[in-house]
Amino acid sequence: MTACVLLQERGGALLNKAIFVIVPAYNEGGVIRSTAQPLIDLGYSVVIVDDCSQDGTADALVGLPIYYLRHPVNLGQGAALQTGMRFAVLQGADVVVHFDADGQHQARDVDALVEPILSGQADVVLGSRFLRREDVLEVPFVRRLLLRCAVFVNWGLTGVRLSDAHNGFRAMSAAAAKLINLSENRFAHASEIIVQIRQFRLRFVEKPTTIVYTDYSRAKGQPMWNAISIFSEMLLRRLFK
Amino acid sequence: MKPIQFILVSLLILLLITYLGRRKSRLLDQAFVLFLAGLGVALVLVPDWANLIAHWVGVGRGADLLTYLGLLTVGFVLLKFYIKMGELERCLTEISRDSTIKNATFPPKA
Repeated sequence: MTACVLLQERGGALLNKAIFVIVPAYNEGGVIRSTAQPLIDLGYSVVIVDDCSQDGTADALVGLPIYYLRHPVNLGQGAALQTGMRFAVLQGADVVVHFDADGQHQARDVDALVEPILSGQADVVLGSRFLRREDVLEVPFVRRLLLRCAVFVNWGLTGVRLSDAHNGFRAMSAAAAKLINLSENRFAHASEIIVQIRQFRLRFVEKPTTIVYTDYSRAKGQPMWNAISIFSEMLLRRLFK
Repeated sequence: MKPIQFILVSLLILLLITYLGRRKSRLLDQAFVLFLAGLGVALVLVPDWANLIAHWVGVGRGADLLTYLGLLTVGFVLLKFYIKMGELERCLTEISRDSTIKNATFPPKA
């Protein structure tokens, strides 16, 4: 079923249906339904990309009006996002949003995130935890320090200075989604996006986002030492691509 | 011939036969491997040659020279595997992606 058909069926939420929210999920059976439901309620087209979960993530989604895609093998978050982006573009999306499955991101923030794209001010909007004081305070202290360091490393590697690093909440126009092609299957995709924004000279802005750190999301999120693995992965790829 | 020389020469010949038996590699590669195996056999049978070459290139002992060359070879092989694995992963990703998009469902089925 295409986005156009959905538009006709719903009649009302015309604009939001052309906004495709991509949710990459790996073993998120416990929370995926509660993550998807608010997005559906707001009228967005929700695309869940199941990265070969083994915990019944698919069962948790039965009956929801969402697109469900499942990788036959576990490939990583970057690969799942790229699959979702390609699918969304094929379905005729106007805007593509990346949204974490673990409940960290707020569905109500999508509206503000896509606004600069809909108004033609930007091609890509990147969520940031460091633009509002109240959002900064939500970030655990050690993680805050690590992210500050990551900002500088990213600046050095990509040439783009941002206020946040590896924030998975971002939006892009369909044209930008067609240009961006993530080849980093795992977590290094977040830096690869920045590299490609610069490469394709896409206009970008940062928007404040509130990240809710729950015990679940902290347990599921990237461990601190992953930063080293991401950094070495990026360096190796850069040298031997 | 000492027992260790016999073991090493036998292993080298076995490796060479296995490699050439595949008949999948280019002629130039086969010639290079043949040269390396020949050099290996010569160095096993006449260890003093390793010392001579080592002195000639500025390394103290033949054993040290072989260690350095061995480490370089391991590094080169690892790099080759890393690149090959990257290529395979890209292929796997593309195939999986195409199949995933083709089999997308709305809404999800039980």
